[in-house]
Amino acid sequence: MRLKITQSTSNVHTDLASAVGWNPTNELYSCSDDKNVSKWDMNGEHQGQVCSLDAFFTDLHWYPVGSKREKTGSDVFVVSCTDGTFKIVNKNGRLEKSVEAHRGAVISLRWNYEGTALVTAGEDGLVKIWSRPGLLRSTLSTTDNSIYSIAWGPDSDQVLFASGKDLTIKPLQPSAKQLQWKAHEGTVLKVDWNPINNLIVSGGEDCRYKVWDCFGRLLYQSSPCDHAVTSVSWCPDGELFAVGSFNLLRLCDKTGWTYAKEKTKTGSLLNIGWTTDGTQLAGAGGSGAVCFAQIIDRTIEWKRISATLEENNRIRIQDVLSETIEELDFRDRVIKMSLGFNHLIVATATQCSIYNTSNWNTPHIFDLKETVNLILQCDKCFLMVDNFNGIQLFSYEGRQICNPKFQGLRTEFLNGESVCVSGDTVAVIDRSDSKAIRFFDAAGGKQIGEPVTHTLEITEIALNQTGPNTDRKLIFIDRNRDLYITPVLKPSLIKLGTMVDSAVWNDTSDMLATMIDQKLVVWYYPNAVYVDKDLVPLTKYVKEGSEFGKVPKICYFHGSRVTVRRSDGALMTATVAPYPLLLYEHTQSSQWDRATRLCRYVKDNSLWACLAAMSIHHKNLNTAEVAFAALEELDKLQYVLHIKDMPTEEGRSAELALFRRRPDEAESILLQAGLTYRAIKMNIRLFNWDRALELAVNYRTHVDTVIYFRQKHLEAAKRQETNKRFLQYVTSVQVEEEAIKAKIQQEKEKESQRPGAKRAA
Amino acid sequence: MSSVENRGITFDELFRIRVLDPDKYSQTENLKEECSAFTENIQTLSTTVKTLIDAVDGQAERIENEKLRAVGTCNQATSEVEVRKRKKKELQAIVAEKKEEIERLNVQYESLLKVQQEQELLIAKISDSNM
Repeated sequence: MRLKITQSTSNVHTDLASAVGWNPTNELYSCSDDKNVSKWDMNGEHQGQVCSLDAFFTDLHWYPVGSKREKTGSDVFVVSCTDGTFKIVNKNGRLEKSVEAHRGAVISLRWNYEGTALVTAGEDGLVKIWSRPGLLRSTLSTTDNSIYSIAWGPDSDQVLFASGKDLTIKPLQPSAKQLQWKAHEGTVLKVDWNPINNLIVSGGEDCRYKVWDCFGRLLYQSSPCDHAVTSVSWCPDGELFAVGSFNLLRLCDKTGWTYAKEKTKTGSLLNIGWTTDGTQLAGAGGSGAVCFAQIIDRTIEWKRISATLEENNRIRIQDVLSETIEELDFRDRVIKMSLGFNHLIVATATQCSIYNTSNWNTPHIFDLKETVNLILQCDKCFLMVDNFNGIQLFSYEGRQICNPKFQGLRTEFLNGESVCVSGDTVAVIDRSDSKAIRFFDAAGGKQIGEPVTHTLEITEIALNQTGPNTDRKLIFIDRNRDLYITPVLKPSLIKLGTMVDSAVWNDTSDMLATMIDQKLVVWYYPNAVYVDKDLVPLTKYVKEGSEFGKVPKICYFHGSRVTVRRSDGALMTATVAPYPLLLYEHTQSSQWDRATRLCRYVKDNSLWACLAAMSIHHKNLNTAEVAFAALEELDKLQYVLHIKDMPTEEGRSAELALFRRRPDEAESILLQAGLTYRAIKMNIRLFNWDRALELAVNYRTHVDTVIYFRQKHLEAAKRQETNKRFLQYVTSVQVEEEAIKAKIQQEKEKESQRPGAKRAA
Repeated sequence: MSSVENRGITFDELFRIRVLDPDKYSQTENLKEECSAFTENIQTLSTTVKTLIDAVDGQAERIENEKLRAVGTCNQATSEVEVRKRKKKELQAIVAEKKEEIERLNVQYESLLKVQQEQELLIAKISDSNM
């Protein structure tokens, strides 16, 4: 990724340019100490002077607009001035309001994300909140030092500001506690807080820039630059940020490492503004120059294909295996592109093109009316997010499938970690309550069941990509970096690991790659936690070695290859054994004999464990028998043999449910099938005496059997009956051993004579 | 001859009337010639002096230019230390950046080499056991 800088040869502003801001229609407004506000187009051409006010400007911010189409009365921006006022100005340069705000200069100001409030900070060390028309609501904070920069928190309920060497997060609620920490060795000159990834970036006179999380923990600190860092700014999608200092513009990843550094001829870059689509940025320089930078050479890879955005409207496709190169040209600038599952999706400012990777000549094209924020792909469809239509699903022919919606959906805050898609399900973290995840049917857009809720805020989610929707699983990472898994239908949360940095599903199987405590851990068959927990450690592969460093992030998990991005920006590739993939292929096509042969050939316990779990999950008892025998798990082998001995299908299902440690499910299977005796007997075997007696009484059968077994149990344990209900029935029911045994025998015969009763082959 | 007696008007050899006596006249003539020779000499001197002055002026100008150039070069030489330092710093920054980049690429390359090794091992293993 690189920056392409364009800058006009002569400066339009005759004095220092202090701030820039892009409006919703992608025009840049810049203000300067020559008392002028000027307008520029996207190519960096000067469009003329907007207005000339009698003030020296310090900052400029456009009124936030969610979508291109809703802009009634919101075409205004606000500028702060050194005389202590801020001025609301409309886009044609007409002064709408000038408000006396601070003693001394107003240095920084920001609208909140909804546009309902404005926060200003000044030389007098005060932070003030204003309403949309410019009426004072409150003075939020008073400090001893001038405040140089200010930013809103993601939910517009807290404000971050820089005073002296400190950063302070101040909640709007008066009762809530503020958080303050020393951030830099010198005065902090600029801060920015991204609403999507919730990270803070700051830059100061100590010539460093730093990345923080919202609890003030340091995530990254740059080495000292040659000059003070005068500006920092997040790309709206939260993947990148830009850093400006004297004659230098830097593009950094959100983890802090630098993609590119470019020289400019602007003097110190005092302010940086990104376009809302995140493809371009502009900087205001101390020499009065305004420079523009495009992000080019964005590259994405998938298997053998890599796609590079060469110019803002040209993509170069390189096939590494066949060594062919294709060039795709577009009319407009490309905003987002996504490659995977045999398709390349390219969203420009006006159109979406869908290419099949086997044919680059005939894309499916449809029109877009909004700027696309996000594209996510799965094997059958892809998901696109924009601020007007919300979440939309499209087929690879370009047909819209559905449009999932719910109360409180905030599309402008969605990214690849808070929404995910698989062939039949869409999952979204609920922004209004980030402890909850909502599921939607990918075919109709209807919500599936109730939202899954957790006790902590959820930061990342992912759905597995293969198998039928009954096997659909979701993993999520919470605020404490704990990893959980749950089925989408009938949620039940199980914790898989702690200190998890990143987790990614395989694209063609249910394998799960995770980064736990700087080690690569691959779960060959995560579903094993729902089949047999004892098998889980066996199905886990841990790649030793600390070559991944701190906070590594898994980028892709394609086939048997895992690509990991280290925190210093290096991409590392690691492989996992190819056998689990083969095993998945065989089991998905029910070729159990081949799967068994594969395991025999590889002679690896982890593979046998996978096969055991898979066969139990698919109710293939013969394979399970072989697998458990190979694992030398005698108890389980015995139990499988016992299950095979059951005369009815329902009985076997129930026993399998028991095997999976779900007695309730087993009981309901038996009761539904009318196998009451078996249900009672099962509860007796589980020493669940109360339930056994309750069933017997409810179904008016085998009460004596229950009491008979209870008595035998008490005798063996040499204990007295204390259970009141049993005491009551012991006196009223006659217990005769012979009769009971005869009854049991009778039940067994009845069961084996049921229609369709057949022992497992 | 006869004019000596007349003490006034005389005639010369060409019979033209002379007011001055021939002696004085010849002296005057001599004087005149000498005068014109003298002016001529003076004129030559003045042109010579002029060329000399021009030459000296030219030389002075050249010297002045040289002097300026010398000062300039001198300044340049003194400031060169600083410029070199700055350039060095800039280049070092670029080198550090490139080093970082190459480090990243090396790590990637090494990891890919490892993957290749693993794959080759796997292929060897599979083809061995098939035989």
